Amino acid sequence: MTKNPIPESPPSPKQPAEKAAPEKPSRPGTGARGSPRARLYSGTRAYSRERLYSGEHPWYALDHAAIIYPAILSDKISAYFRIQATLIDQVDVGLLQTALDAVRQRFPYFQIELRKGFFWFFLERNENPNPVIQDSRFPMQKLLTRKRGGYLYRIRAHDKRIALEICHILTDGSGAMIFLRSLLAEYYRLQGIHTEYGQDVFDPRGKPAPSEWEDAFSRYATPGIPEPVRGTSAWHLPGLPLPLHTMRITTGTLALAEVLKKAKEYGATLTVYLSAVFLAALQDVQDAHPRQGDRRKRKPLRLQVPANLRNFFPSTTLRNFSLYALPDIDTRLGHYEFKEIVTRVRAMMNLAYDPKELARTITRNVMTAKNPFIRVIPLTLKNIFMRSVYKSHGENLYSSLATNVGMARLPESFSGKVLRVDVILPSTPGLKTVAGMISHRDALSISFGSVIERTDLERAFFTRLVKDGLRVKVESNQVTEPGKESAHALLQ
Amino acid sequence: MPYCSKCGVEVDDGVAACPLCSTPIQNLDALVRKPENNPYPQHIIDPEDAYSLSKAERRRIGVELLTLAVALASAALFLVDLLSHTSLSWSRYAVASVVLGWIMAVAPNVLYGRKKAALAIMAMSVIAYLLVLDGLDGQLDWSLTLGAPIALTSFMIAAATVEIMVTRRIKGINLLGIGALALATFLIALESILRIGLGTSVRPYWSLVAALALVPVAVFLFYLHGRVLRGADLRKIFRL
Repeated sequence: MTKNPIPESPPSPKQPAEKAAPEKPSRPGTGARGSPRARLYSGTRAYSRERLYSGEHPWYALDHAAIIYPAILSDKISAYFRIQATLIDQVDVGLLQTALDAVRQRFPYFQIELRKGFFWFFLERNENPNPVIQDSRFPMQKLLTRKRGGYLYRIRAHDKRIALEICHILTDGSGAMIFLRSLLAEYYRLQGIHTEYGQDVFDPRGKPAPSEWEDAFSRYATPGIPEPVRGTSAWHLPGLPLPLHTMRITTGTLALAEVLKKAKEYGATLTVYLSAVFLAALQDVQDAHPRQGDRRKRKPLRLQVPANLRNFFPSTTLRNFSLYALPDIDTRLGHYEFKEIVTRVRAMMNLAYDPKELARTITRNVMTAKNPFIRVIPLTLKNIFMRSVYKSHGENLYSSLATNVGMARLPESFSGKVLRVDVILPSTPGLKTVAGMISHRDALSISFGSVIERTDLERAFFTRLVKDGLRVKVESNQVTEPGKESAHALLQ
Repeated sequence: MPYCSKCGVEVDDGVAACPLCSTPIQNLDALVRKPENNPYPQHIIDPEDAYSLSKAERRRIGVELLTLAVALASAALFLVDLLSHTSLSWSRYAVASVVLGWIMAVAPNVLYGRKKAALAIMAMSVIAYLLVLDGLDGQLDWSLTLGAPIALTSFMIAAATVEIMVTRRIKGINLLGIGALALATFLIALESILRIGLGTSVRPYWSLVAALALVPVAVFLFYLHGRVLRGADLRKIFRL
């Protein structure tokens, strides 16, 4: 197998970089004047690439979970997440590019750029090439989300790893997994391994169904039902920030069967068990913090645990359709033993993952965005408003975030060729350290994304697992030189 | 598999320290860290860097936009003037100013990296502007006797001052002294030009008074610099 070298950087948009892309069928109205891309790159000095295109899927509105993200985007908050697959063999970048160009036509709702309207952001069709780019040490940095002509996702490759970095404006973990599975299926199909297409893996030659880009939130909103009860603000990790455009990734891998067995011992599911360990780790860090000595002045520890709403409300959408539970422990009441935390988390998650309770939040989100008084506010003002809402109704309410994407469900045909799958979330200055979990075959991968120097939370989390008798293998992208991390560590 | 003795977690072969607590990891098999074991590449390449316009492109776009704006503004001024007067009157003055502004903005971009050439062109265009303003009514009244000499003298003195300041080895409070001396020289030159231009008595008067005040200040500053504050950085003293 020939290995194509990974391009050091994507080709400049002004160069004709479309050798690998398959020819698109010509569309009515464009044939006479030549293809839009030919005109786009015909050598005229055009500094902005104006829309030349209005065929099918010309534009989309943002779904009701996505509308908050464009407002909060900054150098420090990217609202991206990353799903990466580590293969057994080296990645063939040429094949991957061919696979990407074939597969992405099947997902027109991802081939878009973010645009500003007068009242809301919207997503407009993007006809630029989307080259596979080389991975970097600090993923998900310097993104093109708000730039004209930039995609809201990108495929990166390095060595044996294929990574999908995708913005939450486009989709959630479930939608991103379908895209990544379809991409991998096409990549392996080009190598002669055939995969059955279905619900989890889309056929690149198939036709997108309108239900794939529906805003399922609107469908399940029930006007008139009471709003959810708003929680109190939660404790946040202390810590000095890492330099801009860097982040630390710490990934721990465990044997899935062992963890499941351990969770069963506590009478919990995998998500409940890991969330309980996370809360216990947060408690360890809080206990060790010198300014948290007075228990009465503490704030509760609360964890956001997202859930895939497709499990509760039938939908096949590839847009966002997830909400969360907020299990918490109030350490003002005293130290929680691990078993107490498990009991509490299990009960709280059972209560939260109830279609009736979830409908409250769905309805609140949808009805707020549909309120005519909010709709007529110009976008610039709305952005300011949304940033404060994100703080007061979002980050302030929970200490951290731990999402369990569940099983990667790669098709049998090539799942043996993939060693490991990870999901990485870049943190925000508010939450500082967050975690993403995913299982592939017999391996559970838990990745922490952090923007602070301290590794206390990661350390507390993994040492708790080790003390519970589990074998954990840890790796990191080593943001600081060895020794630097422990300089400010709280935990001894 | 190597593991951290403090945290109990396992790590890859060849990892020097625990990713969680930085405790050095004893490794009997491989004492040398193998670079291929890094889970992430060690370089930092982000597509953003390649997509953005280069600085030269930004300058070119800036020049293009400025030129277009100036051309449109000049055309509009001429047209408005023509509509109301049927001949060009006041608009010539306005357009001359707009063109001067255009040269001032465009020269540093076109002659990027050639600071002296850009400054020379800007200085010459100011003098030309004065001549044009004066000469638009058909005769030169003040520009040759006053405007151009004053502008030329101030540019030359400013250039000389900057040159002297730049060549000082220690840049401290002595720069203020040089500035004071330059100001005194400029005032004397200014008064001389004014007197020659207006045809009054050639002997300077008020500028000497000013110079008498400035020169002792400069001497005092040189003394301060040489004896008291030697080497003190101006940026330190006058930090905002």
